[in-house]
Amino acid sequence: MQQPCRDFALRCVHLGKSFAVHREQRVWRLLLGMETHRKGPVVEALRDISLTVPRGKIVGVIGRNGAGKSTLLRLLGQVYTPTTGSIEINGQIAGLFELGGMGNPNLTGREYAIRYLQFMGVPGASVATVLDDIADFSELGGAFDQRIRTYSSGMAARLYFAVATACQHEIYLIDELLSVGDEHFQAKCWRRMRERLLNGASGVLVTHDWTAIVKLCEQACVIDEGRFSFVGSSDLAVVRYLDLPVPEARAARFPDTIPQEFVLESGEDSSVTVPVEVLEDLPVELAISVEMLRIGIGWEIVILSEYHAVGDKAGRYTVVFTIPALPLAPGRYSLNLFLARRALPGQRHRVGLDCRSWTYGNGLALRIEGRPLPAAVTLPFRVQAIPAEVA
Amino acid sequence: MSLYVELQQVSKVFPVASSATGELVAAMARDAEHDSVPGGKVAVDRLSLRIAEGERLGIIGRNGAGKSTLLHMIAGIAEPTAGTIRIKGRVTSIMTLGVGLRDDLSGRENIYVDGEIQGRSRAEVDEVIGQVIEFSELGKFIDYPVRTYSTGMKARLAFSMITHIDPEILIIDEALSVGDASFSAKATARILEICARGKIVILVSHGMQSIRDICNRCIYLRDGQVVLDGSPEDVTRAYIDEVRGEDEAALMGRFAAHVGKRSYRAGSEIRRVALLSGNNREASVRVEARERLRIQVTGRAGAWLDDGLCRLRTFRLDELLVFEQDFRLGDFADEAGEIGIEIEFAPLVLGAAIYRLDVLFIDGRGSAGETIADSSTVFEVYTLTPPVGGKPMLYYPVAATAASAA
Repeated sequence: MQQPCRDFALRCVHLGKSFAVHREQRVWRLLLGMETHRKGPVVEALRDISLTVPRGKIVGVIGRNGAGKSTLLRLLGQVYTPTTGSIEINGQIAGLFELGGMGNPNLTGREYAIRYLQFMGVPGASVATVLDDIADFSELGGAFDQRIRTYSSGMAARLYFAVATACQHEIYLIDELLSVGDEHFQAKCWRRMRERLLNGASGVLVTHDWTAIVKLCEQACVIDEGRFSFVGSSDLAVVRYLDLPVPEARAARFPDTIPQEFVLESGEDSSVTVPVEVLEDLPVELAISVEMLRIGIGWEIVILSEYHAVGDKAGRYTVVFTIPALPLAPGRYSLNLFLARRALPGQRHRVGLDCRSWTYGNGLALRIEGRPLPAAVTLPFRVQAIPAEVA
Repeated sequence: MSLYVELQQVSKVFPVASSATGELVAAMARDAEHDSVPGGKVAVDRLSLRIAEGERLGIIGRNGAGKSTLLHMIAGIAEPTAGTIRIKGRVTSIMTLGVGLRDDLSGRENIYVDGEIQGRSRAEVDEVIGQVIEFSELGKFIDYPVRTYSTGMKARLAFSMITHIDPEILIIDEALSVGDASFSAKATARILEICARGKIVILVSHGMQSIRDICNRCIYLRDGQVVLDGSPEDVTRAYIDEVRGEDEAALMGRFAAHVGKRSYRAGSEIRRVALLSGNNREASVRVEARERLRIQVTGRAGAWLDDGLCRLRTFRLDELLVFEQDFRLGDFADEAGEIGIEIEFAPLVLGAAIYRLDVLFIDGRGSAGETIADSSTVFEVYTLTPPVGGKPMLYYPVAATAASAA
């Protein structure tokens, strides 16, 4: 039932889902021929969810446990029928949630993969190639021909991910999936999802891992108690989701005169000067980080300083951070500052006093100018000729 | 009489069969006297261990070393194939969160049922139920049937129920990542609190730091046997040292497809790319962060020597190009045209991760920059002292000076 080409892959309008809560033994009532449709309490798992996924984009949905994320994916994946609203889908869906649902733990990894590929209508001729790819990607080795119930949960997750992403589908519904396996396997999963996305796939990613959202999605929604409390660009969604309490800045703070943007030169010895006002006699410390935030592509901390002492007494201070031969490529970065009270002996954590950070919605901009670098960063090095036979 | 857990010559063998019939045959062939299963997988092998009151035992080892099987047997979830386990004390285990929940009962009713299983009176449960519900953050859902809960909510309920009992023998499998980040932090703090109260604690973890923080004794399991038994500091240190060599081999094996040397023009070749970490004379593929790293490249460029370039490119595991630098080959060749280059990073500021190092010899004539030979290798940067507050791409030194601005 391929629709004529539309500019969206998936759309839902005013979607809602309620579950009736039956307290009585409904089976007995059924067996005894008694009324079962008595009005009982209803749990409204989702209400008034409207979402449009443009072609070629993955839209993020971020929320806490029990907010309705999994219910939403089940509705979009047509596992549940909506109580209200409608869903329009333009393309073939691959669900990366409740993986293994179509399998039976007594199947071997290979049998499970074959069943999935048949179900998805992969032509027989290409099944063998895809199977090789799955065996290779999942890194199961000999276990690929063992039964799934002998797998550890990590092995099963690897199998399911490899199978579900082996072919290019049009729409992916993803539930937390990129958190399976070790670091190496996760990097592989990321690469594969990115590849599928570059080839034009669309999708919805539900997660409570905000870093996944900023890395894969330009747009994201925050879901809270069954409804969207925010829809917009994914960095703002993260700010809303984290809802970090900005410290009251009573004991120490950054004055309003702090620059909103810093400009530094790539490759040069650089310094960042930060004014601090300490209002009470406290041991105050300051740390700085430079973060790269490219919405939909990546987020990471590039440079992270330790906490440095500012002062113990009330007063105005100037802290100068120096970064020798600034190793970053020209571009836009986020500069984050964290002011804290030094941890007392026996305390594990410092008490935050004030901050400027994009995750709090008040980050400072850092623009790095200069000649473009071929890579993300550069590393300080020395080079010399050595006798060829030494090495 | 004080509490203890005692295992004598305990073994656990799992049958391995690839079909139902195979399993049946295996079961029939099982030799009752020797308690052995032909072709079975030995998860725990004749292990003897005594844990006395006051001991907080950490269990470490590779995946598949038998850690979880051992825990399951102590918790009474699995039966040993051979040997005896004697336990004095009530065992509470935190590993299969949510398994015991009854779907049709409400969260609140489940708490009472669990209390009865733990042998507590209704009055005793009444005393703590308020705290349990508050800890679980389930709100109004506490009076809804458990089948209406999401997976995360079930885990939260189960975890909250367990944490309000006073354990005699507490068993914790590392799967403590309950729910989202904020609940998980709360859960970890609570575990630490319980450990302080627990009379015997047995903890399985891959996190060496949590073993050192919580435990006062540690065993290292390999192939179902105890390899080392001692203080958490000593045993974790020995474990880290021992797995390092295995890690190197595993790393190279896993990336074998990415590793190799190729020559595209007769007379040009990259003979060797070696990474030397710290003051090591031996090349290694695991290098310590913030230490000195030397990369040595040798080879020949034949007719391309004078115009040729050596290009060093470093990709992180996720394909991010972190470093690229060109060197003129002619500057590093002897009279015979043999090339030897040493690039030194002192210190190496790359963050902990796995990287691929590509070395390319390039024809510098023209703008196309055709590759005449290349070599790829994989290396891992590790650190025993990761920075607090995040995983930065670079461990770059940032100095600071503070002055009063009066």
